[in-house]
Amino acid sequence: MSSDKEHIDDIFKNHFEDYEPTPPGNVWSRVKSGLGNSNGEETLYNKFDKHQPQPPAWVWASLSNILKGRQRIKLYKRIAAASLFFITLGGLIASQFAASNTIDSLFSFEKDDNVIVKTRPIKPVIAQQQIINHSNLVSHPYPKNYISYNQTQPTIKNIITSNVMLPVLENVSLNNNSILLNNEVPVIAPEVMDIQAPEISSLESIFASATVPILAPGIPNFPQNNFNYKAPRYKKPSNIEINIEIFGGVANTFRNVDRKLDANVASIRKESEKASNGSQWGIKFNIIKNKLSFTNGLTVSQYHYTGTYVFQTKDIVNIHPYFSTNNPKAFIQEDYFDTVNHNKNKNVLTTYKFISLNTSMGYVINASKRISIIPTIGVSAGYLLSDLGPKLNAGKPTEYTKMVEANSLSLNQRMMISSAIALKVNFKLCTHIKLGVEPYMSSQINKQEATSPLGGQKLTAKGVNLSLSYKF
Amino acid sequence: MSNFNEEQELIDGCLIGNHRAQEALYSKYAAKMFGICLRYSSSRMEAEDTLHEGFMAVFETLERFEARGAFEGWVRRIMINTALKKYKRERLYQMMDFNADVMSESANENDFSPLQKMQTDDLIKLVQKLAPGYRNIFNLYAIEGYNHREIGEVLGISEGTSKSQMARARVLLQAMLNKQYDNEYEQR
Repeated sequence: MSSDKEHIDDIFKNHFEDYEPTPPGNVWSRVKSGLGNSNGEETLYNKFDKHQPQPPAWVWASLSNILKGRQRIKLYKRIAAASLFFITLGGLIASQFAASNTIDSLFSFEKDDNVIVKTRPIKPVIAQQQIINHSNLVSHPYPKNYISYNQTQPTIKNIITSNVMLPVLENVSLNNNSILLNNEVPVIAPEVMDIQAPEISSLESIFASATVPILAPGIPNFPQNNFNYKAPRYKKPSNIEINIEIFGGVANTFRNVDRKLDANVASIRKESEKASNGSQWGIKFNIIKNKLSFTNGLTVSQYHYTGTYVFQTKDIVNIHPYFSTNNPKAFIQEDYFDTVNHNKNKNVLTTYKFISLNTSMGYVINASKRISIIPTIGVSAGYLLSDLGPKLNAGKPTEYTKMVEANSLSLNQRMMISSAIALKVNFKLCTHIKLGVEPYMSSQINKQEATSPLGGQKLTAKGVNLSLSYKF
Repeated sequence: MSNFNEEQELIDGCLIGNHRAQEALYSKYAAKMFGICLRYSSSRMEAEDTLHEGFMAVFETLERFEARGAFEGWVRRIMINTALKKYKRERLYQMMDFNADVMSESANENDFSPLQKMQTDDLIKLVQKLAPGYRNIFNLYAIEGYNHREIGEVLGISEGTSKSQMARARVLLQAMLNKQYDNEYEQR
């Protein structure tokens, strides 16, 4: 004998799969007799029974909860709840008034989407008192004559026999041939006008033997008795990760030109250019789904440039003083100057400030539990916020000034479109906070000053950012 | 295709209250469903009751059947639900002791066949000797193929409880099989 537990399962499963024992014949007899009440013939009982409303379980549950009056509910909420209760109760009474005539209608909360499995086979007991009371309260076509007949519900265990009173329907000929009552019980002459004592005791016994509490019937055993109830569907954890990130870093910016430089221009350029250092900071909004990272950001970046510019100056070579009698101090009028123009070089520190919108996409590689690596590509559109930069003084340009101007880093257009690649490494500090290091390289796409002697020029930057991101 | 048509005709007939169709439908599935009821019951009489209630539920809710799945599976599910419902109803009001010593009960039984010759009826008896809680979980897991999470949802118990009771049911069945085997060996 195998001690393998799975083997036990197999033994039983193999035997049970095709196990089809013949049930005793009395089962079908019982089913058949039960079906006589609910299928096939249109009985008076069925006609009456069809119109009964079936209040759902949650109505009873809600009403019971309201009646309990939870302590945390404030007064105004209780008033609202009480109003709702009475409105609902009124609706229920009205619906019960129409035809609430079976015990099952009181306990008809055991429903699911597909299957109803009734637990009490005591269906055909009519709430006689309701019928009588309601018929007195509201005018309806039912006359106050009632027919009483004995009705027996075939069941397994609970066989309830009661005298049931039904109203006489108009235009219906009551006889044994035309109307088949439940279990083919013959109609008794319409003589009984009052509730008889055995009926009351029968109803009491039914309620006494009910396997659910009379008050708030759906509350204590609804989940236990309803096997097909849908289990609470817990929300799946979202597979979308949302991060917000602040970052800052440094960058080194340099310029690429299209053409090769001739010796003179190269010389001048070498003198006039210095690699610029920059910095940037900003905020990013990041979404990660299925390991794909989508990022939008706003970046403020600054490029510092130290350039050599040429200024034209006027040196005064001869001064012709003019003395005024009204003013003991001498003052100078230009007309009295002898001047000479000179070109002078001057180093100027210029800061170009851009604001740019970035969008990028990356793939998340989880290197370890705490470390993830995200290679990223993206584009950005920047706008130059600060001035375009110093210009040469007005005056007659010389060949020298033309070359210097052409080689300066002065930007002459405000829009800058760039592409970038980056490799971001995130360190998870805690559940919600990550520290990131992101080296990157960007290159300008649109050219600057296409008409310059050097042709188009593009800014290229290399830098690294540090970031702190918060995961929502 | 012909089977589907026959079955659909039976269903349609039942829906309009045709007694012949009802009887044919009952005859078609009664044996198979009775086997299921036996597995979920502690006695043959209880299984008959379950079968009766189950078929009543089938006929009463037939109009809700949507032909998205097999009809047999739908009927089977109703039978299982009916059996579980009976079990829960009894558990709720009788507070049955699941830890009843099924071994002492089985020790008095000497009518088993050896495992090699065991018939399905004998195995049914073994399963019926299990406490209802163990029996239901064993049936749902080992025979119906539910997982423990699903069993937990159906029976309103935790997944861990389902696992532990399934393990306990296996141990008890194994013990009963061993005991039967020993008895048979001694008789030889």
